[in-house]
Amino acid sequence: MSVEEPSLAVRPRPAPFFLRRRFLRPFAPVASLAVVGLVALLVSANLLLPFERLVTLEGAMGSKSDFFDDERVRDLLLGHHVRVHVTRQGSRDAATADLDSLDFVFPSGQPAAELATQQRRAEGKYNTVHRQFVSPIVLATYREYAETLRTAGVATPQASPGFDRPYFYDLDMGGFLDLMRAQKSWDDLNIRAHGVTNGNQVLAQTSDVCRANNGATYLGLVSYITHRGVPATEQEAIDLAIKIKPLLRGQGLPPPASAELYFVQEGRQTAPIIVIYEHQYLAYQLHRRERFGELDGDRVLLYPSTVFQTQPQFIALTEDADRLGRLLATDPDLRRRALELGFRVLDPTGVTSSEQLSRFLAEQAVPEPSTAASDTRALLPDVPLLEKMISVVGDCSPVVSK
Amino acid sequence: MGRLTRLLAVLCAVIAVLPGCSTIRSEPVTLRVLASSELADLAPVLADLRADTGVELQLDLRGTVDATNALAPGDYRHDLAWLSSDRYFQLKLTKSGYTGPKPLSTRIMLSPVVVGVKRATAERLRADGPVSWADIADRAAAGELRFAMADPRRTNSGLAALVGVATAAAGTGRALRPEDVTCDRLRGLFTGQTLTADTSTELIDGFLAHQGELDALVSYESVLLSLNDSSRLAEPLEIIYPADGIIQSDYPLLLLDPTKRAAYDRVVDWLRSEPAQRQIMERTARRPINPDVPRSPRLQVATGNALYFPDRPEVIDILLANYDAAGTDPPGHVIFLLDFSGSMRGARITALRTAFADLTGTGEATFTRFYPGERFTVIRFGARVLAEREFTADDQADLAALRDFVATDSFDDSTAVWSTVDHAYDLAAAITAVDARRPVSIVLMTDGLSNTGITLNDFLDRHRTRGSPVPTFAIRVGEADATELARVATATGGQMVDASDDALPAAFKEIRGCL
Repeated sequence: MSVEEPSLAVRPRPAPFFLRRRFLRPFAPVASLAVVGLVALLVSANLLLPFERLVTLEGAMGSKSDFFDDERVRDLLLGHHVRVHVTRQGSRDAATADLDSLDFVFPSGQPAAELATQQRRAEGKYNTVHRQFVSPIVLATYREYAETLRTAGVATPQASPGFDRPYFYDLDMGGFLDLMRAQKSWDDLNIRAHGVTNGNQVLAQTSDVCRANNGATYLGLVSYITHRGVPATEQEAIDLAIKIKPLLRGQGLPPPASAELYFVQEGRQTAPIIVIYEHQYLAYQLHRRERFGELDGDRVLLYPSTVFQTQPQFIALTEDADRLGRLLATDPDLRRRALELGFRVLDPTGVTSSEQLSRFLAEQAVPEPSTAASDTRALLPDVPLLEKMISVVGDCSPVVSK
Repeated sequence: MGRLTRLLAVLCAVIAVLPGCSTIRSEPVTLRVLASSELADLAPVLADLRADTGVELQLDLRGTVDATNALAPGDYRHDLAWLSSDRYFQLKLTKSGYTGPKPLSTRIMLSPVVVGVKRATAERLRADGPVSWADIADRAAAGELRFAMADPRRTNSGLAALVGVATAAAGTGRALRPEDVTCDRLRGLFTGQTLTADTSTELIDGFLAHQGELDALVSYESVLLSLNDSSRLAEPLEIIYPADGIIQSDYPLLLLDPTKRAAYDRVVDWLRSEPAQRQIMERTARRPINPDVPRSPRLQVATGNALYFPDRPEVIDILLANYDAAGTDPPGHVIFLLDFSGSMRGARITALRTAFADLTGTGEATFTRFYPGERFTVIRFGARVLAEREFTADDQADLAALRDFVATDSFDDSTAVWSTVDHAYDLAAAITAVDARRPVSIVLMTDGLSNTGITLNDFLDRHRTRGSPVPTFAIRVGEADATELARVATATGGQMVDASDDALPAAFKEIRGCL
């Protein structure tokens, strides 16, 4: 626990411990059961852990709830006397929710996280930030769609040594956007040659840009490719947003928690190409391997030529949550489990160590994608400009820092 | 759940070894749920939910659109809402300008809105390969397919079907925008809708009562499969997943009253668990949202591609207004002015004949085919009116005669475009004089410059004094004057479409919805 990792800490003078909500809520009933509790704690010899009583922490997040929904993670946390109660919503929604009713938020990416920390700073309220892992944004699809894009000259299969077919493709994002601009349908690209038909236009579905990190990050990606960089001024950002809006709105009403629609059996018809995080796909294939003994050979990933790492940010809004954040970043078992759930876990100095993930995937006989290292912060526009673009593309109000 | 109970539950989770912990039961809770009417079939599942979790869901059943219209942020009357789809709710919130927090929402299961068809009809539809909505619309307009569909103004199954067919008819491959629905291409389809109802449940009753007079039923896959399992049908319905796309329903469970969160979590966790998902699939034929639950054999069929649902509330408003009008406005009278000057010889006249083959039902199946009740006056013109004849769409012989009428090979040397249009307006006035309610429109197809008769300016002068509401739609081919055609279209409230020779059938289809 040597890490002073949270660098954005703002610590207003804390209230006396007996007045704190976290204390008041569980304390009274605990007293009546103190004996039972004490016995339990002594038995499990956990008295010296950071959490000396069981605390339930309220958290809001998007797809990172996959982590807290995991049974093994829940068990590990209970071992540390922590229970996490998750409200799943889009990251941007989570970051702009009523933060006072929460212990932490866990936005999937930096832009939404910044909205939350800005708000806390402006209000002079408690917040610390912890980073545990990263995961690149990818386009999840089905083999015949990837092969159709390959025929169209915009996708190239990656080598997957030891596997009979490619699971990962490099996607020429510029070429892909050109197909979208030309309003090509999958039928136009002769997807028929691969045994399916689809009259829908080529596009990648995302969650709502106004509500979820996945939509906003994809917006950042599309704008970066279109503009060959990030916009420098507000006017540039607005012009660019107007330009790319048709590419992002063709899907109509965006489905919430869209990844779910991809992983059901009907995904091929309902969400044939969709923006997700790499960890969601790897977790799925690892689960398939574990539960059914074989990989899903139909679902494949497209890696955009410009890699966007997303960095989930655990923002503690209370001291208890801060302890949880530190636990996530430092506890070897929790870090190991994050790896098993497909995340690229950061080493204690904050550096991504993808070798660990490679080794683990190899052990599990799950193919390993190759990604060029890249830095999210260099590629997304500054938050105020991104907010502007989100509001133009999604017709929603920008979040203005108070 | 009381504080003490919650604490006990939590402690038990930590100290799982202590005896007696496993027997703690959750305090019984009753939640009032505003629910889509077809969820009535979940009763046995909900009984198990109650037994396992102590939570009773009391369903207040309504058509989904009706239910949604009863949902106002800040004034919810129920603890939860369980809708076939919350897309209409999302659009309603957008339209109202509401920007506050949205209810927590978790999808529970899937079922696409599809078409159940009697075997004989299915065989006819399948004759030309995979069946599309266009095939169904074509047969409906021909009077050969009578179907039941719930009211899109009140139900999700009706609205999903309406949006689905409108998206398929627009053929853009993306979510409909207001500019895609300025004209209504669904009139022909809805001439076949001979039964409707306010809820999808009532629709089934209606269908069963009239199954002898109906060929098809538009509903959820789950409803159709369950109906086939019952002994209530005279013959089973074959399920058609239209090749041009479907709209998927995903049954989100919405938390309206945040103070009921603990019970909501119990319900959602239970409903999404593998055993419950399997039970939902087996009892109600809906598709599990849990990917680990293998589909029963009959649910392993592909659903057809999901169409994108519009994100602009105006689009739904327009579609519903068109649907309303289709139910009340009488069929129209279209005056076709077809240029038969010499330059039309060859490829162009062939394309024109193809267009009329499609419109009259001997060509490609289309949303835009002529439907019963419509009347047409077709005029071939050159330097003057070469021939003029009236047809109706009710009579196959009449439609054959119409095809013959455009099949002739007699052409004239010059072109009197504006004299002919002027003549058409006289005809229009005569039609309106007899039947004021019947909408009249004019379609002018020409490939050359007007070189005889009155000028465009002459015509427009006369048109101003005439003050006719009849629009002229101009299809420009070859050397025709785009500026002049655009002027007449604008002056009369019509539209001009540019067509290369082989795109002539497409041009007719494009304007057809506006006629």
